[in-house]
Amino acid sequence: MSSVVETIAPVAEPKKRGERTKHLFSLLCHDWYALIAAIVLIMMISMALFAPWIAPHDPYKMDLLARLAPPIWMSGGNWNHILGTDLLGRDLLTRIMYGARVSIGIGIAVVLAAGMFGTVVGLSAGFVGGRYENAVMRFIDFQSGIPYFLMALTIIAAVGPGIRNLIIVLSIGSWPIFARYSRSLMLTVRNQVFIDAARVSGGSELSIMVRHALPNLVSPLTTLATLELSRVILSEAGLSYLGMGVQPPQPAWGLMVAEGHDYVSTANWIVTFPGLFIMLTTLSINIFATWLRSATDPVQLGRA
Amino acid sequence: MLSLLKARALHSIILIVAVVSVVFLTNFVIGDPVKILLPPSTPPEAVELYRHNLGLDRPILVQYFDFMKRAFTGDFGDSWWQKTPALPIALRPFPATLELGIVAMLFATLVGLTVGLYASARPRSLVDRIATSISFLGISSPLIWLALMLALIFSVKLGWFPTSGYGTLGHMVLPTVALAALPLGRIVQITRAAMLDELAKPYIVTARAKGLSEKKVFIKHALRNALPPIITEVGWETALLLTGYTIIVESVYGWPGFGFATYNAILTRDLPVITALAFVASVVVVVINFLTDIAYWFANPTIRLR
Repeated sequence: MSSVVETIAPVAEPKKRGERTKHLFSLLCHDWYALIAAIVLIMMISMALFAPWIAPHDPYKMDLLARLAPPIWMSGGNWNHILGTDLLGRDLLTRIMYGARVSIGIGIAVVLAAGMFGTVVGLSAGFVGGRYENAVMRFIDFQSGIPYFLMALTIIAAVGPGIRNLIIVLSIGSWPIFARYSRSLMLTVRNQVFIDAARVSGGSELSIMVRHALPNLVSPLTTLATLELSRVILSEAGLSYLGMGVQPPQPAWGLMVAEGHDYVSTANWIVTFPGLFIMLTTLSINIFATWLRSATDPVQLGRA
Repeated sequence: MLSLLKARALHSIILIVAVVSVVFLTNFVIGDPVKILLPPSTPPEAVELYRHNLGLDRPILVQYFDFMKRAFTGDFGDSWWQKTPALPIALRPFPATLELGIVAMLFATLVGLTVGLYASARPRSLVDRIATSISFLGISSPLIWLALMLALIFSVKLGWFPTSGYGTLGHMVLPTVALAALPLGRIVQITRAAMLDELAKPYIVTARAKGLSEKKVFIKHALRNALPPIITEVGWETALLLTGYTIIVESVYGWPGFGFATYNAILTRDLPVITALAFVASVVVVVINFLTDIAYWFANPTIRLR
């Protein structure tokens, strides 16, 4: 119990920005799981960023003589292909590195697009209220009544598969949760004393919303965005597996799992490793997001 | 109560009509279905005749209203490929998916609730840490990968269950476990968080001070108030599982279900079947929303139904 009181106290004190970052960092170093998750995430992102410089091979280069080579710890494996090769003899490790760019990139793009759109709609609905709010919430209810899978497949069948359309479809599925959540946050903030104070001292509605209300919503929305990122990466894998997402020969983790489908009993590494990388990434994101929520929200302290 | 049900029914009908309409109209953007139905060497006159026979040469709005008029009587037209009525084709694979979805959700809910309750009883204990780890693994596993890994380990390597097919109890185990993983993880997390919120409230202190057993405080007082978010989650995941999300698992394990039917119908652009499937799926969503509201009311009879 005493540890909870001790940890609440420093957070409750108002701090300068630099100090707060430092404080968050020291909190992170005290939580082993979160620290490992953060390190794994940084590794995944740098792998995606630096793929062209650190990848041992060309992701598209086929070598039929070396097809279905096993990873090095299995008999027949060699140092040339550390994680083995796929059915066309392409180096698996290289494709996983390039695949990180596509999979994580799509995830971030969707969260940015859906997050910004949903947040603007939700915040304004919560702040303005009245008929506008009603219409927005009705539309969201209507959209959640549509079976998402059917909608997604129909849209992709209409506009064709590919990365850009995949981002659009995933964003359509993701924005309502941002709108709902930011609206409910705005409703609790709207009635607080400091908003009244800002209004009494003559602030315009827009400046109150942007300068006073929004900063209080940044940390819960960041947490939501992080959790959504993991969900989007998982959905992308599913859609790519169905042939409705990233198209071959481009490397993406979900697509690579799909390509290994028929070889799962003879050459399971083609399925195992890309899937393992998806899971490591989403697991780290989820652990990190949970930590972030408990670290930035005083009410949640001692819960995670 | 009666007027409430009437309003509810009206809302549901509007939703179903809207979903079917959107799906019907979207399909006209996809492109000419006749191009897929006929071989490329078909002479143009034959193509025109074919379009005429399907009624595709009429203006879209005429087609739409004609379609809606018949759809209200349950007639979605004949499948363009199988030449039999579309609604039975859409309904036939549904029981298989219903089986899978219900068993997976029952498993996820029962195990998830129990584990979440135990975890919230002793926060930060070993039990809690194990429960939290399991829930994180559940919500982080890509479904397709999990399904393939389960098949690899338990069918190919150990030979405990058949690799694919439908019919026996053994066929059901792996697809159910794969589908249950994510909802189970979410339910554990939501149960734990909601219970910790409730257990910190003053009425729990009162209940304990009255001398109630810890079990009673937990189940009768705290859990009852913690139920709404759990019900929301169960309803949401069930709707997802019954409306086609199972496709990935169905395709790995050769399960002849609703997701597979949807996927095939969209790939072959079989418009009558697609709209019939959309109809079935939106009815499922409406029914589940209704059951969810009844469940809220059972958890807390003071909630006013809207």
